[in-house]
Amino acid sequence: MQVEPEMLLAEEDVRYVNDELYEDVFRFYRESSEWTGPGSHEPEPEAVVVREARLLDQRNYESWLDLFLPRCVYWVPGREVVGDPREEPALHFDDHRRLVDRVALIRTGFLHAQTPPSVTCRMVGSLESGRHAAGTCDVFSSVLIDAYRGGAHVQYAGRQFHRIAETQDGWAIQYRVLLLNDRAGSQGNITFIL
Amino acid sequence: MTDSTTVERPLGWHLEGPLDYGALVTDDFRVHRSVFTDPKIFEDEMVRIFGGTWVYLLHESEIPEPFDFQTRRVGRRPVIVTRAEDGEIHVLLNRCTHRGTLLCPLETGNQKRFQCAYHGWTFSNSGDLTAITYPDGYREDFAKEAYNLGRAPRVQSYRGFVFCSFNPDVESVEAWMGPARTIFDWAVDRAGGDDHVKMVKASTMEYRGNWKLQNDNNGDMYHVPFTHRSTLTMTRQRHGAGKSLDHFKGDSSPMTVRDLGNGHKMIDQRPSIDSVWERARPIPGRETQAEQLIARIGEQRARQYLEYVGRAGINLILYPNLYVGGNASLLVYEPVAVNRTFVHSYIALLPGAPPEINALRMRFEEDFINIGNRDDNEVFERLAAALGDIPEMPWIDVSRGWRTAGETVEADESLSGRVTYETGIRASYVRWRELMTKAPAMAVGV
Ligand code: FES
Ligand SMILES: [Fe+2]
Repeated sequence: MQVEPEMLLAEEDVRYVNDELYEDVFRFYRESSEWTGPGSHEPEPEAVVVREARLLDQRNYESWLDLFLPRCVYWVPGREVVGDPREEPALHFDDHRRLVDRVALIRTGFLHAQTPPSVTCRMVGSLESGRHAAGTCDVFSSVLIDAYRGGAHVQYAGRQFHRIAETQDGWAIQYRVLLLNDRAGSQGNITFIL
Repeated sequence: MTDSTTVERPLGWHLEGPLDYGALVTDDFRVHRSVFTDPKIFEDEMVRIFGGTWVYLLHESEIPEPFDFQTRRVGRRPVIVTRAEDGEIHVLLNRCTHRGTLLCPLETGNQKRFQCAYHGWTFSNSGDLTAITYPDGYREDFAKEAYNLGRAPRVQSYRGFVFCSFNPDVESVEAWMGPARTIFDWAVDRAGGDDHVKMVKASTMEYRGNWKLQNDNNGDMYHVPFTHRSTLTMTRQRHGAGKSLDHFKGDSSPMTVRDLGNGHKMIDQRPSIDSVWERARPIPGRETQAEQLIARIGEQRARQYLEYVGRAGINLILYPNLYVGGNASLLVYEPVAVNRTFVHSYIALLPGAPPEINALRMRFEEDFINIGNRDDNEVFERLAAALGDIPEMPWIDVSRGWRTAGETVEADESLSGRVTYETGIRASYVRWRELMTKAPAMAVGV
């Protein structure tokens, strides 16, 4: 499926990555990593996390983007001990614009790194729902991704924290933080969207 | 010139006698495939190249305090780079002198001593063996001093960048840099000078291919419109013309590639980059952080600082293992095996710059690694997937631009070529041949 350039150039909210947002995302990371529970199960927010994994496996990136709020962050830290993202690089710290860039990159049809594409299977487990602020629910899980491409399998594993927010159209991802086990080392050539 | 039919030997030929390394890079600039695929040649490179000349280790800001240390590899040699109490930097072989155990398994830390996990021998952070456990078990004339940690015989810090060599006869870092030094100085000065850089690790890329592929590629603009077609297309569709690598217009652009001697090379993109900031791909926080900065310190000063965010227009590659980008970002090539390489990326925090600038620099550093380098690494792996498996086709070609009118000698005696030329890559293979055909006077100090 080709993404129409007009759709990609539609009005985007790009003016929200400021100090307040950085502090909020960093706090979300810290509280999530230190969280001791007990957890509960909240079917609807947790279904978003499982659905995200399925859409990525289906390479249905347009529907995957639709899961995110316009003011979202997808952060993959690159340190064992994670610090303020304003002072250390991450594997990536993406706003909505850079998420769309990633999808558009694949849809150009010229991404050699995904020619042929990886066939992936994500296993999301240990799902728990934790803290609730007004209209949001934090979902914690483990994820194991197996990817097959060019005769070889690679695996990525890690913990992920999702802040899921209730909107008029249902639940959507506000923040996603993926803590890969090997985040401080090397991950090979990551050619697809994790 | 060597005829291709006379040089190829049967598989396994290197086992039969010493290699004629001079024949693997021909005078008309073909390179033998075994240079990228043969484990024996890789082993010799670790001795003759990564032992025979200067190798970049780290920036002093990564070990600022007494007793700070970082571990690194010099070729494959594990080393601990320490700062002693008196401030001196030591490059110690990370190997217990008793029975050879890796002494320090950590990447970084602050320790006065290193105690071996196996039998408890203890070394100071300047490498002295300070204690042997149950010492009564050793003969009377056992010379403890002979069991200090091995060390690189030559260590030199140049403007905060620490290099070492296992060749005691190696020239000074300044002499080794040659004409590359002016460019290196430009890059350090542009970041605000020696004391204004705090180098932080960004990430480690890894590909299944030889270390020289990344080294070559950092001096290659020829590949840009093809390898990076996805990045160029997406960026134009989404953000309009003129961003990222869009200033590349083939050989009609005023950019050049240069052979700086001793295997060093550079691409000079500066003539085509009017504003670093305006040409940077949009990154998270671009609008908000820039506006906040302008509101606080005024348009003019903010504009100056914003030029620290983006590609400042040089790729300087100091042979064998350091890439210097113009905006205080580095790549360090770590050979792991003949067909496996780590590429560590670093970005400097600029403690003198406003916080908005540093936040933007962090986001920019991630950008090309995620968007563009995936395709570079893919190409390296495709190269590795074909080159090693066809014994009937032993040669690759790096002669583009050689003996053409587009290659000229500059005032500093460096060779300059049109930007798609393989002038810089040839520099590295000439140096490869030079280093590989003589065994260096290797030494390990104790
Ligand atoms: S090997 Fe280190 S103390 Fe024995
Ligand atoms: Fe490239």
